[in-house]
Amino acid sequence: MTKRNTIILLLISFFVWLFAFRGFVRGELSLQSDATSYYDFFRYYIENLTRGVFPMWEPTRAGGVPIEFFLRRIGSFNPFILLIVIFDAIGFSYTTAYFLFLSTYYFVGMIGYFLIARHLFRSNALAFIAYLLLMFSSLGTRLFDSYIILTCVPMIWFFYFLITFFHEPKKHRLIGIVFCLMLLVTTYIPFYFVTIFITFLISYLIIYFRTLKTIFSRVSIFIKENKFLVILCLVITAVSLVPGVLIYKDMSKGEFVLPMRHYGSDSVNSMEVNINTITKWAMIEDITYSGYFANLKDFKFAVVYVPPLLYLLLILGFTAEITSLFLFLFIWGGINFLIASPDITNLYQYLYEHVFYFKYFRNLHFFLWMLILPVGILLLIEQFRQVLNFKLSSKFKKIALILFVSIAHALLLCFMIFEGGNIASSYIAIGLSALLFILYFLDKLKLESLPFIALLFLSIIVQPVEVYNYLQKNSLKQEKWYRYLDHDASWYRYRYYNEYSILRIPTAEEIDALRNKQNSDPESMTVFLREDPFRVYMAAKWYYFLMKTLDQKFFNSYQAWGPFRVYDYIEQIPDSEDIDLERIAFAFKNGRNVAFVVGDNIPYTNEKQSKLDNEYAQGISGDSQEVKVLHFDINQLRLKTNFPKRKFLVHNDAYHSRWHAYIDGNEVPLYRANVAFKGLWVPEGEHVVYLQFEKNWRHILNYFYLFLFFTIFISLIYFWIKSLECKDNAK
Amino acid sequence: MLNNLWIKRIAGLFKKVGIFYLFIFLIFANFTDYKKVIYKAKLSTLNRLRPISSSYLVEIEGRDLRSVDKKLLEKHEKYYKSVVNVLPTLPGPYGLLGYCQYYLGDERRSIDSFKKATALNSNIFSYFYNLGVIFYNQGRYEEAINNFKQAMSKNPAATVNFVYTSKVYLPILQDNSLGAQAAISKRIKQAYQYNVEMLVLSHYQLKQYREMTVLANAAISKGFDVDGEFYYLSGLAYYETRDYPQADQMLRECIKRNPQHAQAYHYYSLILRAAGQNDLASEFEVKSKHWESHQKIKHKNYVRLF
Repeated sequence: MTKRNTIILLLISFFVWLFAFRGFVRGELSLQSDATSYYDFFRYYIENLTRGVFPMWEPTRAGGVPIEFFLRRIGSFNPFILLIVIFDAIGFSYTTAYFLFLSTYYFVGMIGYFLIARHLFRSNALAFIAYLLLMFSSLGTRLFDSYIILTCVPMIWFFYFLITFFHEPKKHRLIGIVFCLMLLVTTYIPFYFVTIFITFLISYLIIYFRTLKTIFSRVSIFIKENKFLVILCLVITAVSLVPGVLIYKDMSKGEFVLPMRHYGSDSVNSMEVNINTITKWAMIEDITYSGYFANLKDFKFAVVYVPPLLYLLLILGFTAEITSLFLFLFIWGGINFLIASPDITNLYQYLYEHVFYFKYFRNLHFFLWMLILPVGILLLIEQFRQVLNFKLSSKFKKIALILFVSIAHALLLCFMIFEGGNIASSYIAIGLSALLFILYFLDKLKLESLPFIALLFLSIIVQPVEVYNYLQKNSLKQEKWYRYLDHDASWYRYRYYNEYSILRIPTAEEIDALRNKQNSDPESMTVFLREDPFRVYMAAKWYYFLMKTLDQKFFNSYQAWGPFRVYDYIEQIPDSEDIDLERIAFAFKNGRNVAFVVGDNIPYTNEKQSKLDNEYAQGISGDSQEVKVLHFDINQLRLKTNFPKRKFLVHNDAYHSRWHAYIDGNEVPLYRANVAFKGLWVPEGEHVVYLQFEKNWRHILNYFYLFLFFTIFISLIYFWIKSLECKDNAK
Repeated sequence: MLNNLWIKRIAGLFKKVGIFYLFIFLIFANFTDYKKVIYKAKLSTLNRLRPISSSYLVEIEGRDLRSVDKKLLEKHEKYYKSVVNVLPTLPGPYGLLGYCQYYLGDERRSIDSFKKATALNSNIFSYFYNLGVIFYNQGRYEEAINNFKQAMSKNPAATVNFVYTSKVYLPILQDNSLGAQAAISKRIKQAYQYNVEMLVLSHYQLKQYREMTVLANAAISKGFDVDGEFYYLSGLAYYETRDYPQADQMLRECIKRNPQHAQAYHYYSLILRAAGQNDLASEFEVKSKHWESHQKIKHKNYVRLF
């Protein structure tokens, strides 16, 4: 297989893959499950970023939340995200641009996998089989219902750069390792990778211990020759850990809650997950679930599926001999299987108790997709490699092998029919595969020849294309309700409008109006239901407390007062959940002229309490005489105030201690007011009030990271091209 | 020499991947309780297999089978089949499976499922009632009577409690705002009334008029009658036995309670005609025709969710 042919085949297979998922790529079918919120957050992030704002606050979710958690989930510094902007600029709709980004990113990951396989097996043909099997496995379906791919792609490339670096240290490989590490530690959630990497090292030590000396000597020579680069890479790696450390520290304070995720955990850190939640659904459950979809016409998301050729490789490989590579892959996959199957051994429980990071990630079944599937394919290719190399010295041996191959195919066909997978393409795939192997063992086809590859290509892709067609048929047809699409509902119009509108929970009428629009898709309603206090995914702690404890009607009526409330008096309340909420709710309901404020030494506390019964708080919009919104974006708000006397201004956006307030350029205390919101004293007369989420250094840091990631990515490409040029020159 | 060759061959076998897999499998089979692991995994998967909403199950109750979206209902059927597979000792999944099968037009399997449900818990009213309905529709009146009688003998509270506490019914109750115990009681109370009506009708089909009158009159005296139906059924039985004075009384009571009861007008007109009051009879026949054309026929011979 020539280089040119390989590239053409890789591209053709990608286009076939795109064709197989055309309904999703064209945006005709809805994203499912977690993929929806990722779509939303990507959009939110990119739309803000392209307007020059690095978003750190999200005012429309549960009254306002910091989004550091979601920025980490999407891997906000990943240069590949730029693809969405590019596709968008070319003229694709955002949805299509997003799907094209996902698909391209997936393809990039598969190329990395191809390179790993080629490095291991030293054969383009075998690498191409591995690539096709993984690409057309149901890992690709997870683009549209999960976010696994965001971690998988850098992980694949990390291992590619790592093993090639060990084999032959080069600058671009070291930069590649660092770049992938940077992506992995800033993308949700690095702990899968950490576990997979540690188990990789353990397995490697067990099987290849003797080679360590050679590797060390190679690497030490490289370090001696490239001291500056190595130190720089170490520093950059350490620096890329900072966003992760910051979010860990922020989460540890407990100001940001993830009720559904954190449910049942005693820890203050909202990232921590209860062990029962984690072990409820692990790898065995995912495999069992997939068993219900043996009838491929019922194919759905999250079902483990591989092209039928893989089963043939398994059966044929029984006759292969155990090799070091086989054992290494088996041990590596095996350890992860045991970790991710808490019902089989107590290994996971042990790690949960003794290794700190095991408390911070769930979805153990992801190991199946991230590791077991790709490693399993490599393992079977390793078996297959030996089968192909069998020396068939006699005619009898040849006939025996052909008979074995035929029986294996017949058995697989029977199994498929019995299990309900008897779709037309199954017969074609098995037939083509049988023809391929028989011709090969009769010496009519050569492994690296184009006819072999073409026949193999067809036998692998034919069934997945039909299966994914069923997946599309079984998926939601109409466009789902995505959060950041323009919408009629007034509560939703928060972005870049001239008027400043309050962000609040929609009223019952607004929800009804939306329901009428969306009633054809029952799933879309979950978007609204998540605003329900019992279905909140993430929120600022005190806002969530208020949502949970205050009657929804009180809450809505308070919110309906508008973005600001102005008070003459304040009353101090304790910084705990032990507050007289009934009295506070009464005050809210009756619009009493007192704000309930948390803090020490707050000026003008408890003044003139006796007059309260006859005085009312003032609800103010953003374009009144007293308060005028000068500028706002997602992270900040600038107001011009002009009160006849000193007032306590409450901004009805959730409180978080990382918000800061300034009056005429001077920082002033910002209090937690009315249990969950932001409040501050504003003096009489004309002033400019400025509220900003996070200090300036955090904003600068984000831009610095964007710059750093792009720089490293460009360096990687530069050094790689340079290395290829050197190789060509050497030839 | 030969021995050496064979020893080499046997030793070589242990280097084979197939033997290695077999070895690993044996370790797993011996050192793990894999049956328990798989059972637990199957239990966990059931929730995910459940269709997004169960409101369609409530929607189709009482509907003409031809108007049922079979594809949608098959998803529910498949789910309950999976539940039955994992939890074969629970009656609830069998009951719901039988319900799906009935509306998919597969009465034979539906009967099997309901019979299994009754065998697993003989205190549940609904399963006997549903069996009675299917047998009635098939013209197997003796079996229908037997099941309606069984249903009638069950304590409604036991059924309410069963439905309210069963995990398999929980999503149906939640998705359809039927979660309150009072709502379940109301449905089951109505089903009991239908059960007696169906029992009376079964006797009617077998021309067992005496049993009809006994049952209908008992239902009236127990306050089961809501819309004059039992007065009508009692009147019908008296009419068939030519006890016109009694029939007259009962049918008039029925009309008093339900002035739109077309059948009651019809039989009342027949009695009047027999008594020679042809003009009056014609007048009631007209009323019968009028209400017949306006009447929304309330089928009762359908399988119920619970």
